[in-house]
This record gives sequence, structure tokens and C-alpha cells, in this order.
Amino acid sequence: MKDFDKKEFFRPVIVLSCICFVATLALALTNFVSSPVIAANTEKAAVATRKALLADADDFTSVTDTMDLTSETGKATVTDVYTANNGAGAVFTVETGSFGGTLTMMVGIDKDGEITGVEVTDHEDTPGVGTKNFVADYLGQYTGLTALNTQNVKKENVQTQSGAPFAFISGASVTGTALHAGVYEALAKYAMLH
Amino acid sequence: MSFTKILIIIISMVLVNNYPLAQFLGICPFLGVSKDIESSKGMGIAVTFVMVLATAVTWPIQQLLNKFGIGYLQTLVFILVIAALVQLVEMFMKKSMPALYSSLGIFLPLITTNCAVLGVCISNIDDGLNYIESLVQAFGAGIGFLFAMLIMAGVRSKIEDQSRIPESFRGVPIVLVTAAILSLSFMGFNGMFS
Amino acid sequence: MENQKSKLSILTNGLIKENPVLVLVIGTCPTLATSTSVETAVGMGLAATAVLICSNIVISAVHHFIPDNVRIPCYITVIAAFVTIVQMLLQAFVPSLYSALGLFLPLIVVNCIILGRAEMFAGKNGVVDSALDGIGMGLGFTLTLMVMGTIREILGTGTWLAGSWFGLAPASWKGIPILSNFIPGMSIMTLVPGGFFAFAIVMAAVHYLTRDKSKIKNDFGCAGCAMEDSCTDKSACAEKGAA
Repeated sequence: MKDFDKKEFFRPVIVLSCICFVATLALALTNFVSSPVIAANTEKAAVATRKALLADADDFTSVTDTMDLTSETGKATVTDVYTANNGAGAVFTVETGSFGGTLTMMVGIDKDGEITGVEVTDHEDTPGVGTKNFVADYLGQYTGLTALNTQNVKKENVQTQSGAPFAFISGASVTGTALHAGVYEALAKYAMLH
Repeated sequence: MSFTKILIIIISMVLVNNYPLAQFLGICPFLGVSKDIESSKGMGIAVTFVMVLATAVTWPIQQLLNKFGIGYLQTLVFILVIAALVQLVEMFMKKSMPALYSSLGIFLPLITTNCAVLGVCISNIDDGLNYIESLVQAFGAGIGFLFAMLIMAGVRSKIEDQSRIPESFRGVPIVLVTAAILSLSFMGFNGMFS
Repeated sequence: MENQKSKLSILTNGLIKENPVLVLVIGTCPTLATSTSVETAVGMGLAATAVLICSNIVISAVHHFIPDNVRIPCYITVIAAFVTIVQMLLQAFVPSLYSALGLFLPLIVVNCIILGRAEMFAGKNGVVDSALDGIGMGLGFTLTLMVMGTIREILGTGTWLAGSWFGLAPASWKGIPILSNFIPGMSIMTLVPGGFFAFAIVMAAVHYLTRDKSKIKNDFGCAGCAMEDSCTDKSACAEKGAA
């Protein structure tokens, strides 16, 4: 090109680069301010959930590094284990695959091996039938159980502590199975603690 | 990565988690371009194409960003990449495939601001999918969008005669009522996997 | 825009006359997705308003330096930066809202209202006017979301204004019971079909109220599209719009 105008060619490039640079700088700055707060929030929420799941515990210590966390079921993986300092039990963070993606849950188990509570802390499922599995009524059915006789929610009857059959939510079995696998995995890892 | 899993992702993206009808993504073109079957088809195919292409590019970029600990640049980088990608595809199509360009090309500039494209890129990352799964999910989301557009265009051709519609509901409102009924029927697919 | 146009009219333009959602019919995705309750509706509205005001100010301040051919990428960069800043600040300081808005928080970046205002207003006007325009448009968007949220929350759950209000409300606050004492909530209204339906009702009401002095857009066409100016083939769009 004969009348190639350098200014016409480079000016847009320079302007766009400058704007990108300034934008990135601003973001880095905001990230610098906000990321410690976010980390603290996450930690605080996790501590609160652990306390809620295992009310008898005083304080928690992470024992994640001392354990072999290879999945027993192949469906769910324990990512974090905290034991209570007063020996009241342990809380497991379990990741499992559900309908919309990864589902993160926490399972509290006391010193007798009884489940003290299950809570879903993060999930990607669309609100609707599947998320009915996350309400306290449903998850409360696990409370008091020491073992699940099956990995699968459908094949055999699972019983709640009172002996009543486990009420699964029909039409939401992917989520139900994911939760069940998570609880199963937590119990399996609990057995390894002792 | 089994064939079943691929099939499940695609079916779930098309029917259960359909973007415009179950997730509120890509509503603008869904309502705006679904006037007739031909343009619905063009828009749907163009969106599918850009979705897969954008995922193919943004997924590795996210891994790169994570590696340098600057994952917070996600939104900024993704939208710029999508904008550039759309521009490139448009230029390429215009030059080497004029026939295709005349049918799909006109929709390309609209796609940059289509939230379904950015949405699928970000949710692929949020869901923690691997590369193949991400590509399949993007493809499924696009096909789901095409599917919804075609149904919508079909239904809308029946309400072309607006004389029997109450005056206030003519135009946009009746289209929204149609979309409501359509999404209601799509709720029937909820929990179809067991 | 002409000089004599008062600052006040710029501010109020977005509220009613050029309400982005109801009149221009843009930004429908977040309107439908985040209006499940008044709380999330207000959260989304304010987040988008913050981005809109900031991006309008910055773009109107620097648009003289931006060459025309990279205009859109530059605008998008500025908007994306502000969206990410809002996103990070919300995650740090209002985590409940951050998780309630989810995917739709980063998607503010493709909210047609913001790019549309950058293109149609901030790129042509001064800083003060653009800021006012941002406030007006943002409030118009927020108000529309609140109306939608009110309808969906009252019909869907029976209460009004329920929620933790970003941690500000007392723990005992359960919202104002409107219908919950009489009939159970119709949860369909908080789901996807209810969103479309509530929007249809609101739009029909707007049509009805403005039936005489109607400048209301009766269709989805080129005017509401943020990419209107850069559209390569406007005739195609117009043709589709007119069909």
C-alpha cells in the first residue's frame, strides 16, 4: 500500500492496548483489596457450617493432609476433613457430581459414627425439583444413621433412624443419588479415621 | 468420556436446561429473531457455531489465566475474545463462503452481545467441566437454542393474525405469553434422567 | 442532543419515556432471571446501575481519544472492567447477593442497556450528562425489576420484600404477608414460566396505559439493538423487523 498511514494503523492499537492495560490494573487493585476478604468470608462460613453440623465440637483441626482421600465409590471425593479437638467427631467436605455440575456438601459424624447432619454448601443445579433435595427435611433423614447399606438410592430400601423408609424425591434421582454417594463416601472415610 | 455421558449432556442441554426456556439465557434473540422459520434457523446455527468456537478458545485461556493466578480477568478476556472471534468469523465467511455469509452473516454482529454465548463459556468453567465436556455442553446449548427458536417461530406463525388478540396484548406481550406456555411445557422434562 | 435539553429531562428520560426494559425492550435476560424476589431484583438493578454510571462517565470522558474503528471493543473493555470490579466487591462484602445473582452478575457485561447507552449517549455527550443518563436509565431498569419482582414474589411466595436484604434486615424479618395468610404461594411464578408471564402482564399494562400517546415499541426490531450502529446489514434487520 502506497499511502499506508502509520498513524491510522497504530493509533487504534495503542488506544485499545492502553485501555486494556488500565482496566487490568484497576482489576488487579480491586482483587488485591477484595481477595483477602473473600477468603476470610469463605473460611468463616465453613467454620460456621462445621459448628452447626457438629454442635458438640469446640474447635476443629484439619486432618486432610494425613489421610488417603482416594474415592471409595468413584462417584464422590472427600476434599476436606476436620476433626473436633475435643473428640466429638469429624466433619467431611465432599464433592460429588450432580445434575448441573459439581455439588459440594458437608457431612458431620460424631464419635459414635452417627451422622449429625448433612448440608449442601454449593451446587450448580437449576432451582426446581432437584433442589428440593437440599432442604433440611430431606437431608435430616440422614441424621442418626451410622451406615448406608447401599451406595445406590434406588436399589434397596434405605431406612432412616426411626425405621421409616427413606423418602426419596421422585423425579430428582440424579441429585438424590449424588447426595447419597457423598454421604456414603464420608462414612467410608470416617471408618478410616480410627 | 463415554458416549452415554456425551448423550446425557446434549439431551439435558437441549430439553432440561434449555437456555432460553429454562435458564433465561439468550432471550433477546429468542424473542427478537424468532419471527420466521428461516431467520430462526440462521440465528440458531450461527449461535451454535460461535458457542462451540468460543468454548474451544476460552477454555484453554481460562487454564492459562488460572496458571498465572489472574482468574479474575475472566469476564474481560472472554468478552473480548468472543468479540474478536465473531469479527474474524464474519470476515472469513464474507471472503471465502459468500453463500453461507448471505444466510448466516447478518446474525453474526448480534451474537457478541448475546448473553448465551458468554454464559456458556463461563458456566463451562464454573461447572468444572473438562475440555471435551465443555465442547459438548456448548454444542448442546446451541442446539437447544436452535430447537427453541424453531418451535417459537412455528408457534408465532400461528399468531400472525393479531385481530383476535386483546389490543393491549398485541405485539410483545403475546409473544411473552407464548414463551411462558412453551417454557411451562419444557418444565415437563425436569428430572427425566433417573 | 440539543443544548437546551435540561439536565432533569435527561435524568427522567430513562425512568419512563425511554425506560430501557419496557419501552426499548432490551436487557430482557436479567429482567426475567433475577426478578424472582424484590430483594434479588433490587440487587441486580443496583449492580447494573453502578456499572452503567461508571462506564457512562469513563466512556464520555475518553471518547474523544478513541478511534472510531475500535470504538466497540474499547467500550466493552471498560464495561467488562467495571462489571468485574462490582463482581469482586460484591463477593467480598455482600456474598449473599453474589451467590443469588450467580451467572447473571458477569453477564451484566452483555446487558444491551449498558453497551447501548455507551453507544447512543455516552459516546456523544459530556461527562455530567452521561452520568445523569446512567442514573436515570439505571433507576428505570431497577424500578422495572422491582415491579416484576413484586408481582412474582407476592404471587409466588405470598410475601413481599422478604429476604435478608444483604444482611441488613433483622434475622426475624420474614417479609410482609400479602397472600400467604389466605392461599399458598404459586411457586410457578418464581420459576421460568412465571417470569415470562409476569413480563407479559407488565408489558400489556404498559401498552394499555400508553394506548393513546403511544410511542411504545410494538415489536422487537433494530432500534433496541445495541449493535445498531455497527450493524453491517441494516436492511436485513429492518426487513426482519418489518416482516
